[in-house]
Amino acid sequence: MHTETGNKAVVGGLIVVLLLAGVAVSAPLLAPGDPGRQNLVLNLIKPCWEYPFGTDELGRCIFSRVVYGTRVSLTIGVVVTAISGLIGVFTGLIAGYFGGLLDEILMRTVDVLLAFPGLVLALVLAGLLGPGLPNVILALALVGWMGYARVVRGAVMAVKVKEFVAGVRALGAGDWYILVRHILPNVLAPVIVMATLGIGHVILNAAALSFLGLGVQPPTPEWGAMLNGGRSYLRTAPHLTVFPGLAIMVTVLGFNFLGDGLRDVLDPRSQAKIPD
Amino acid sequence: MLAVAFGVSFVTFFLMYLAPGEPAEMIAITRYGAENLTAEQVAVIRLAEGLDQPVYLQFGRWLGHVLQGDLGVSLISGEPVLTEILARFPATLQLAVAAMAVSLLIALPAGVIAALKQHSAVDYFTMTGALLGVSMPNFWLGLLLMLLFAVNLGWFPVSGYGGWRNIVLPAITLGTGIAAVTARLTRSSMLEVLAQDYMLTARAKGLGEGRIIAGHALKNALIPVVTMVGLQFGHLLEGAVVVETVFAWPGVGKLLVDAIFARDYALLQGCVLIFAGCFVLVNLVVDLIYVWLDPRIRYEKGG
Amino acid sequence: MKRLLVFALVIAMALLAGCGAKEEAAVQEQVLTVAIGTDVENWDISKFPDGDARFVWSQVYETLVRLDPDLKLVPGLAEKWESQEAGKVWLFHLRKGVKFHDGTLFNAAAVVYSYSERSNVIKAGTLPVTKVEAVDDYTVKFTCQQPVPLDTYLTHVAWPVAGPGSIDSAGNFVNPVGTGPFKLVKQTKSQEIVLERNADYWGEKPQLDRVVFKVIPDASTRTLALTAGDVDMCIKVPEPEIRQLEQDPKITVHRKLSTFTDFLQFNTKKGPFTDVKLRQAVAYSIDTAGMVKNMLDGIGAAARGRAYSPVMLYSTDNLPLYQPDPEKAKALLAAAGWQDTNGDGVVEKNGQPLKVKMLVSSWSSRQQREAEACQAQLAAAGFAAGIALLETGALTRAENQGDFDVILRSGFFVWGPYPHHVRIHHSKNYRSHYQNPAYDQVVDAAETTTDEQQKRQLYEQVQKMILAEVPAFYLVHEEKVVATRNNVAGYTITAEDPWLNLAGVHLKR
Repeated sequence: MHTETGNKAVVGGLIVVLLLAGVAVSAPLLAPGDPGRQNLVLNLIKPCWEYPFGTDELGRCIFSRVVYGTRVSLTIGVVVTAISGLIGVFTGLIAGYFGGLLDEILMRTVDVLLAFPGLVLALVLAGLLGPGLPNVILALALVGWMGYARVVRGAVMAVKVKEFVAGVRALGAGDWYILVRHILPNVLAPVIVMATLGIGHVILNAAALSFLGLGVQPPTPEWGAMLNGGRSYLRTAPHLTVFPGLAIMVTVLGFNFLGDGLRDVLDPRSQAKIPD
Repeated sequence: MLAVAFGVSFVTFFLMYLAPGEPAEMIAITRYGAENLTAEQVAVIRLAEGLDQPVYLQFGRWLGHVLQGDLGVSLISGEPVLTEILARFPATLQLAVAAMAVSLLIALPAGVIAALKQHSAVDYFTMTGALLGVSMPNFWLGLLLMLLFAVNLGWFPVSGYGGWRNIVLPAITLGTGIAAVTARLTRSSMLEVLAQDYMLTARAKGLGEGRIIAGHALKNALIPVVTMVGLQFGHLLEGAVVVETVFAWPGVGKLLVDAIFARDYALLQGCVLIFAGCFVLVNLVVDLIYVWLDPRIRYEKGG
Repeated sequence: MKRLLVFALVIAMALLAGCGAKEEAAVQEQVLTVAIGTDVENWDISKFPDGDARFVWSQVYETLVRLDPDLKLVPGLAEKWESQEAGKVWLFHLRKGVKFHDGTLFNAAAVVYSYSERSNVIKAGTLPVTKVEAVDDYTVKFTCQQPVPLDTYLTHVAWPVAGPGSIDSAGNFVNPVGTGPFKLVKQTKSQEIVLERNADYWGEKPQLDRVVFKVIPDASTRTLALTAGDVDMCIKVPEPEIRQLEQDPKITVHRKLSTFTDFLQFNTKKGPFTDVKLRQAVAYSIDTAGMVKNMLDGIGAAARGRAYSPVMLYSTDNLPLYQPDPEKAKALLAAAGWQDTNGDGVVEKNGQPLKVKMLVSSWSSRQQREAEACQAQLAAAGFAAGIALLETGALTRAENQGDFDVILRSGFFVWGPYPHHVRIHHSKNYRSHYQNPAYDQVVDAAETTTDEQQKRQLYEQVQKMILAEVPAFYLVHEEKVVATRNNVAGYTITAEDPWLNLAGVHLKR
């Protein structure tokens, strides 16, 4: 329907995401300094030629920290989305394909977990497990897989009644073969769209956790944590909060554009119809 | 519905076992500050709270209490958890309603105008703005608004609870992200309706453009929006946790964050249960409204 | 006729005067709004008031002995006191004519109640007292296990005298009954606490009609509320905000060096810091003067290892304080067998890198910054230091399990000018993580002696031992900071930290 705008969004989003990935990979080349290197004498310097984003309260180069922060945020976003995507897709596949009691149990579990607002549950999990990168990833992954499960299950139920599935089965194919070779490819489109949007969402939630002091540990340059640290300087040195906030926004925006565009291009509903 | 409620209580109860360490010891630390913590104190708590019994018995007893409206006693303040939550709930509700009002005030006009002027500069501007809105961390937006409107301009109080002026900044912060989603939906729903046959009929009948939009298009376009607004209410609760913390708004979200930091397990479980309860309730109400608004749709369970 | 006229005149004047008085009262209603960080969770002396609750307690409750703004001991509810049996027995002569907020008379029975088994200070064994008895209505006798400077103990805001009327006949707490200049009117959980003037106050009559404490947990938000005019006074202003506030013509910043000192406490029972050389290496690696000057904007004083804030009793001048010296740190590490053999900047011993786990509470942003600064400076010296930012409960757990190498914390056992806090490193303290019989002996002797000359010498010895043995490396002597808007007049900051002195405070128009 909006394929044209969709394409534009995909291209725009893709450019942003690729740029960010480039920044993350080549952080040591791009960052003018070590993100952890302190120089107390040169603290709270306003943005200037040498320090494009200024320095923080410990005299660390904010630009370097934002650049290295790309690694942290993208890692969290991708790893969490990969874990929750895998759990969700697997659950959705077997629930939708095998149906019956298994389906009932899995889908009730999904219903129960979806009854909790995601961030609230992640917050409690991170708080109970204690701060740190692995726990943040665990907490966010545990609350993020249910959406995939629901969508994949729905798509599988739609696909498995199609004639071609019956045809393949008549040729003697096993359940797992059918699942992986024939059904999975047909349900991937909505998963890709969800995952792209999901990465942005995860990055936002991870930043929120760090902002509340339940995220990654200092001195890791994480954007949410940088924002939280800069709060005390909101009046005196707003550049401490402005740049990490912008970084979060641009990153999430990139993934949202990409995801939105992909949805328009791939339009999950029409995809599900193709194998007819 | 019952199964979900049971599952929710189950998860809430067992959350506590995720924390490293023995619950009795953790309660003892919270209660006595670990300063003069002795093995006897831990043992006394273990016995008094029934933590020496098998876990399923503990769960059963806890569930029994919850069903009677007894969520236990806060480890920090010593007050019943339910009392604490009910004291904070109005503040969260006020914030959620105000934020919803803000979001609708922004989203409906923006979405309708964008749809009417599809592919125009206004449309692109609005929709980019909407994407920006969902991508912006609300804690950041809150800080920026606080800096500009409370500190530099002095129009609103910086934080806290009180008169109407106190609610403005938190409501805007919380409402913006929601507005973005609603605006997009309003636009696409409106576009869909505008392309329907009966719109052409209405035009053919010579009805004025204004009346067509107000009377026919908007009414039909709003059906999915209403559903969305309901669902968004759940997300408002989620956002409230962060926004309440930024603005020191004394709601349930702030209570939850405080409970996490204080390791007040009873209060924590109570807050989580209340959040989940509201979430489930809102979803149910939305489903009912949806069926009522659009009788063509049969309510199907699950998804 | 004349009489009638006079009568009418009198009536008219009375009316006018009445009106005037009424109007004046309306205009002069003095309400001070103070931003604090945490709510008062508890008003009963059976529990310890946490966080900023003590600032509020100090308006409602009073102690037998008080501290003046410079920490000198002055009469409070006791007019005078003396010790007998070389400091084992203390007699307090109480002030007469003092009334509690419920109208009952303050007397020896109230003091006995306040230091009975019910009170937190006795229950927890913090006050080394075996018996508290009323000699007569206005004399109380405290008997201690061993000689102690008891008057310095009884200045603690959290261990005040409360009226027996604060509990009902069943022993349940009802409401706070103190003798202080203000009494509790209303508390809205997590929002505000309203106090009202105690018209019967025995001392300098308060000029404020009401004091409203607004609970604003986030320190920066608290400051913002002050600059925006939402509150008149703000306690615990974070260091980064102070310079800017000082430039604000509408705001006055009051600062005074306090008794608190942030320090790095080592786990000397296991891990690398069992070796005193490594503890000294840490002391030589960290530039506390640079931290204060640059990171804290010059707010506070560099401790350079000194355990006593200069405002404390027996704080010795001319101590051999630490000077940052990376070469010396390296030499000490090498002497202990730690050297960087693979050139990665981290020293190793037997192929193992020197990993150090530092705990810090997520509660204080200053301590977080200090931890990050220490971490970077230790890294420069060759330590692979990692920070674990934990909330209080988790930190306590890790500490109890010994799962740490070093903790960055602020002083506990700190109140008044007397160096009670040196007992932190006493092996009897459950949070000591340090065992040194020689140290225990000196601290015990210093506390029990009544000979001032000897006391001074012993405490000097304690300070030198801390510098040499480094059970902890003291970083920064904290400054207490209270900021007020310029309509607040008559405020004098006191060095005692959890105490807010509102005597003489009034609002200007």
